[in-house]
Amino acid sequence: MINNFKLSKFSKLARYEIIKQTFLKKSGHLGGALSCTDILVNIFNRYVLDKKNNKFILSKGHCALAMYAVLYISKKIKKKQFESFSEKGSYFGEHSSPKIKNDYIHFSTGSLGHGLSFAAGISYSNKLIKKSGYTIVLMSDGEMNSGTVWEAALISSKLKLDNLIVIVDYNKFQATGKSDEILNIKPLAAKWKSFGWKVVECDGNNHSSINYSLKKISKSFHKPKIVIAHTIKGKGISFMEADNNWHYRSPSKEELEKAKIELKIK
Amino acid sequence: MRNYFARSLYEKIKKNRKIILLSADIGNKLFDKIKKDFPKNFLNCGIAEPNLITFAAGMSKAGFIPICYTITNFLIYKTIEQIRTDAIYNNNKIILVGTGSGLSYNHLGPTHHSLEDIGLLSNLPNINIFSPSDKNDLEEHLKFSLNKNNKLTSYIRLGKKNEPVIDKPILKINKLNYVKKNKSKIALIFTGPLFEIVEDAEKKLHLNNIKIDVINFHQIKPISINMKKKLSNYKIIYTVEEHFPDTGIKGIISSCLSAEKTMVKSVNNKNDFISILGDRKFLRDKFGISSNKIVKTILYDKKKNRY
Repeated sequence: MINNFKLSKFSKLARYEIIKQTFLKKSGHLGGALSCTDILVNIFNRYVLDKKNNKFILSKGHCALAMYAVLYISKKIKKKQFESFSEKGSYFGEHSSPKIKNDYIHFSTGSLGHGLSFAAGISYSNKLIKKSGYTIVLMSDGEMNSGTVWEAALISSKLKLDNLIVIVDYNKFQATGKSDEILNIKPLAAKWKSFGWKVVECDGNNHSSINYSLKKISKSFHKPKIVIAHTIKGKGISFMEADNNWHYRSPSKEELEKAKIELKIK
Repeated sequence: MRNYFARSLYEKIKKNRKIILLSADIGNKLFDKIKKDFPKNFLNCGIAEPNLITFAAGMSKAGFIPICYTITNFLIYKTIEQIRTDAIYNNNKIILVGTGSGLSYNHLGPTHHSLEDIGLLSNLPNINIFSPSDKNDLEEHLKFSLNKNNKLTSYIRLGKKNEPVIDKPILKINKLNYVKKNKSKIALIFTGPLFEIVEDAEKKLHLNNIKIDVINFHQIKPISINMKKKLSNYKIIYTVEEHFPDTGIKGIISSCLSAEKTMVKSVNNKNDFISILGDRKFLRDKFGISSNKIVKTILYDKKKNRY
């Protein structure tokens, strides 16, 4: 299995590819893409790429660029496809399209609050036909505002979907401000616990912490599972971290160079 | 119609266990036989319709054929984005079966009426919209929707219960379905369980020496080239429906005949909620649906030499 050192190197490379695309195309939700980079790198390498029974659903669809970067570095999408991000004639948009035919992209999102219900439908189907494998959903903390998330939380718990794992990229910000101020979602762990979920918290920008929490949670049964991953928006680049201006800003040439140095990309 | 739906679905599940009925806490006892004999093929998803639709889309992705069932207004109005994005845009075929459509729930008031659902759904691409006039129509709609050669999401707009069965041949998809064919220049087109009213109007007109064609417009979307061609042969088409006319079959037929000379008129022209209580006949009357209203409208045009 790929070790944490290699995963950290992968994360740096993915961050650079993400930042470069936002510089080139002047588009992309950069801050949120960087906060969830480590989570995506970790779960794709350890739970998705060589485990065909596990399915990944990107519920925070605006960060599709981070998913493309991980798939590109893993050679699951071609260079030409990755570089077509946000370009005329491409389907690799800021939100992925159902026109993309790829073994790892199953659902086109963009409207928040849809991924969990969809994943619950898949997990329940797998239970009915006794098919093994997890459905893993990456959600944002902003998504916790959405009523459908809690509808899906109720049914997943009722159906005891222990083959369903949610990871929340809890970067503490949403589009226009702090997620704990816009609609106070605290206490998040207690909320999910009270809905009948197995809850584990971790540092979502630390591979060994992500590993530990996923291992721990996979050992619990009869309940759906959620990892509340505490992250930093804009993680990895000092001048972007926890600054919500980078929610939808793209870097200048100078800023891209600075980022490259910080990420130690040659 | 809903009782027949439950019976027919039982037989279909018996033959194909991939069919799953998802309800939003409705149909008390209606599906008891399915629940008893095929417990895995029924799931009450609670009063959480948006989740129900996306959950169904996920089940479709995993190889099942989900049927989403509840009262039409909740099934469609609370969930239009989920239907559009998660089922249709993402190519996850589901079947929407709305019960108590139109003014069926007369005594429950406008929160339970659906006079806008055809308009909302017909605005979406890649969807079949069916509105059965009786249980025989419903059977054909179900068969077509469930067939694996049909890749599209379908909507079936049910009435409530005890609708009379019309004496007519088995309907054909993608064709105009005549209930009365008199080689007339004018046609009366209805959708849903309104045949009794239409039949009464047809008889009254006959006494006035006016012969009309009567068409059961059970397939609202798509409208095939064949259907369009046949519709365009009429001088005047009169529509009658438990739906607001501008976005219902009146609006849809007008728009598909916009380059033709055919005039399309709605018998029901009320464009407001029906808040007043009463039996279904009373509410239909208030909405502008009655055999007398049909006769009056058609006789008026005769006087004006419009056909």
